[in-house]
Amino acid sequence: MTQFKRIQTNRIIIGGVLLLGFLFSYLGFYVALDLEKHTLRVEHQRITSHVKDAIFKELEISLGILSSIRSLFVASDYVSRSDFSLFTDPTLKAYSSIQALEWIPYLSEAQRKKYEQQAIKDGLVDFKIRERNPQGKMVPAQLRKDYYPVYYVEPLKGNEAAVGFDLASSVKRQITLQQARQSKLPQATASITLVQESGNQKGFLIFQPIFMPENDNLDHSGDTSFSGFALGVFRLGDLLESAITPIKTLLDPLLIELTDITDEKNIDLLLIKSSPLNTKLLSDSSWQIKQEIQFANRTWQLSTQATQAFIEQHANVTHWLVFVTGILLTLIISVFLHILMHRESEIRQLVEQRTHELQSSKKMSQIIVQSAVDAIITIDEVGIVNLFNPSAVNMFGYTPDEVIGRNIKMLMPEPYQSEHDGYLQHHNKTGEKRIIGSGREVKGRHKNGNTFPMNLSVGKSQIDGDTVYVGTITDLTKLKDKEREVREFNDRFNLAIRASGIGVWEFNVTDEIMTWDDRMFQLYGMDQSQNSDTYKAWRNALHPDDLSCVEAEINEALEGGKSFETEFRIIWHNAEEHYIQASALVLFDDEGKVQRMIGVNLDITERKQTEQAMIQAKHVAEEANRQKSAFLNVMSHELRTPLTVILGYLPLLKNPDQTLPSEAIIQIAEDMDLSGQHLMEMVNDILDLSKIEAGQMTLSRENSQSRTEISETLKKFEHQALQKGIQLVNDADDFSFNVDKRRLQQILINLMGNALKFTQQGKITISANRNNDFVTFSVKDTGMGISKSELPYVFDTFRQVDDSSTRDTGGSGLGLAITKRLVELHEGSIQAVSTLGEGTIFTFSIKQSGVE
Amino acid sequence: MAKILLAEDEEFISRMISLRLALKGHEIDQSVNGQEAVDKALSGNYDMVLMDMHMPVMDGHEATQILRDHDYKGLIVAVTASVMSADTGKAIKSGCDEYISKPIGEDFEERLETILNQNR
Repeated sequence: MTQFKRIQTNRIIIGGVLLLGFLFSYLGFYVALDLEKHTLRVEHQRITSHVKDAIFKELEISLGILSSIRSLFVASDYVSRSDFSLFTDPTLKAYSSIQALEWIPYLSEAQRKKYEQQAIKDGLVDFKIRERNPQGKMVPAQLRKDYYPVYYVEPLKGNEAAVGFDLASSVKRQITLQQARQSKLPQATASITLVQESGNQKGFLIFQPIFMPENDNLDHSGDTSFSGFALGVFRLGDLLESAITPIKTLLDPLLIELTDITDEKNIDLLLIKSSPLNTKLLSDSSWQIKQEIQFANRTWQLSTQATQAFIEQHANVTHWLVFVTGILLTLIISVFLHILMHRESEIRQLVEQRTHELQSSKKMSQIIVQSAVDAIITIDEVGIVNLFNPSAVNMFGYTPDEVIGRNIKMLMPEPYQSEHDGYLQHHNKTGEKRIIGSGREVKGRHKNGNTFPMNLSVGKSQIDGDTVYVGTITDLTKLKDKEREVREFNDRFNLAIRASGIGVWEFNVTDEIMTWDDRMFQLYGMDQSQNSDTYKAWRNALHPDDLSCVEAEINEALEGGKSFETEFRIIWHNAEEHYIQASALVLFDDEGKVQRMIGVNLDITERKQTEQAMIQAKHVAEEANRQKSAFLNVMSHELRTPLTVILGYLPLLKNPDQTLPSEAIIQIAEDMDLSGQHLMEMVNDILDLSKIEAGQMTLSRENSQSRTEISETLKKFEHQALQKGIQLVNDADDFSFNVDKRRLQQILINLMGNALKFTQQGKITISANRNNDFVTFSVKDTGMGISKSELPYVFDTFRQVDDSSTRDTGGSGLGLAITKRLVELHEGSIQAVSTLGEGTIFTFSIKQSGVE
Repeated sequence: MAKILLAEDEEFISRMISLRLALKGHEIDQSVNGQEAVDKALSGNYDMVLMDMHMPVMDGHEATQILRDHDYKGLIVAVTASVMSADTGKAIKSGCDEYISKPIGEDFEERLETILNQNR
């Protein structure tokens, strides 16, 4: 809990530091930004003042020029047109902002003519004092009291239109002229659009009044010395350009505006010079600085507005530096704090852990002693008990109180009790050990006086200089009981082995010696006394076919591959074959090397025989099943054949439109008849066979005469035999016997039928004789015969008919099978003997019963 | 009118089928086992071979296979008595074009006619 709180507190502290750090960094950032802005403003102000000064200086120069012209007129008696030109020429060349410098004389009506003529004389052929009519056209000036004509103009080129223009004709100009004349000071006009210029440049005029020294008497108005004006026409754009050229780069990021604010009601924008850097203007009004310029009775306002470029040019990253440094510093301090706190917490934790460990170690020792299964008793060097744990209580029956403080001898029976003191003294003196450091089996004495076996081991130790013996005692009573149990189990086990017929053997791998128990000798049918080398005897007894296999398994088991579990055959001396089931364990020594094998043998001959019989029976059953299926398959085919014929002919007979030739009808009838009969025969055969197989056929014997029966049979084949040219012979003894006449006929007809079928020439003989209880018949033909390989199977129902598609003989093939069964029903037997190409003899005997 | 080779081991069946087909005006040739059928089919020029599948010496499956192995292109119709469809499948696999099962019905001639027309 405290740990958790501490971590919480640490987190709050670090969080606080981080927060403050970020705050200060942020504040620092803004202060720095403000400072930078302030610096920028000062710079802006400075540049603006600089421009103002430069413009002011230009204006001063302009005034100075006009002043010098005034001086020229004042100082000279007469200034000719060429004098004026000569005087102004260097000035015009030096100052590009001057559009024109003019001399405007103040003329009276009377002087007009003289001046016009003088001008024409000077080379100005069309000179006239002029004015603008209301349509704006230049016309000769009307007669008035006085005139202010533009008389001298330099340079003349480009200013021709102004020559002769009477300024007094314009009311606006007249005001300016009057103000200048009255104040005797130069007077500037509001801006004018300069007609001479192609561009939109504005200009302005400065009138410098000229007063002659007192002796001049040209004056009419009272200002006796007033003689006219020196007039300068200035181009504002060029003036500004010339003023700012030296500081041009400083001004690039600024928008410069020059405004005439003399008349508050009519503020006139003189010019705008925008920044060539094309960056955004700073709209904030604080980035616009205005300064006033006053000269020649006019007030101009210079305004500069900073653009983004201005800030960029003077860009300063100090504020970011302050911010980043602040953040970094904050982070470093936080990390440092964190490490410091973590360290401290680690140390505190370590101390807590160590303390805890020490406590648990102490507790652990107590627990070990208290919960030990073994009894633990400690004594001092004279044998006084000072610790007696619960197991000791259990073992000895004393409570700790009864033992602690008393001598250990009370827990010992004689002779240990009497010997103990002496032993202890001897050990203390000599250091000789008997039990210390090792265990020993001794006897203990219970409170109730009983002694019990126990294992005692003693350790010796020093606590604060005192010797302590620690005794650990295991009660051996149960162990001893176990030992006895094992011994008893062994006895029972041996008995069981003996009773089960299992033979036990042991094979020592290193010296190849095999040891057998008595049962093993019995299992191998051997005499123990005559077979000292049992390993050799065992190998000899093994069935030669099994030897290699068993040896391979033994080797595999020895290599640790698998357990040895096998079966093999052995041959006794009397040639009897026995099956042995064997299994064995491989035993290894401490180094993992094979030492020996222990195994058992069991005679399983009887079980094996049963198994084999069962396997045989299974095979027989399977074979019978297969034959049955084959039989059914063939039978179905055989039954279908005549049916196919009958059903195939029927449509021909049913169709009324079909006209059949009579021979065809006879053929059809014959085929259908034969097919029907064949079908009938087969159905009868199958019925007979299944009746016999089901044991449902019973014989009804009656007294019969042998030759008569045979004659009856032969009569049935007479016609057929005659056709084939075969002789039928009745070669039977004449005797009477008991037989089922119908079945006997069936047997004979079957055999005769076969004989006639397979005989092409010669004769067929039936003979009969009686021998004791049996009557024997034989049917002998001179036919093609039956091959040796087929002969054994002729009576076999299922074998004779194979189920492949290629059969050689027709018919159901059931005749002989039925015959054999009928003979057997008469408790008789039937055989066939045959030579290929010579003929076949079928012989059967039936037991006669009920003969008188 | 077609020239047909009938391979059938059962004499009566062979006679019956021959009669039925002869009444329809077909020309019938008979063989009693697969071997004979192969020999005749390869040397003769038949519009169709009617092949019983169940014959001695050489059965219909083998005969059909041999014919097909010899690149015999003619029509072979299996006539099988077997009720199991696996057998008819086996016949087709051996190389028969069609199969008719025994016993043959009233529509036997009609079916043969159809098969002949389809492959003519």
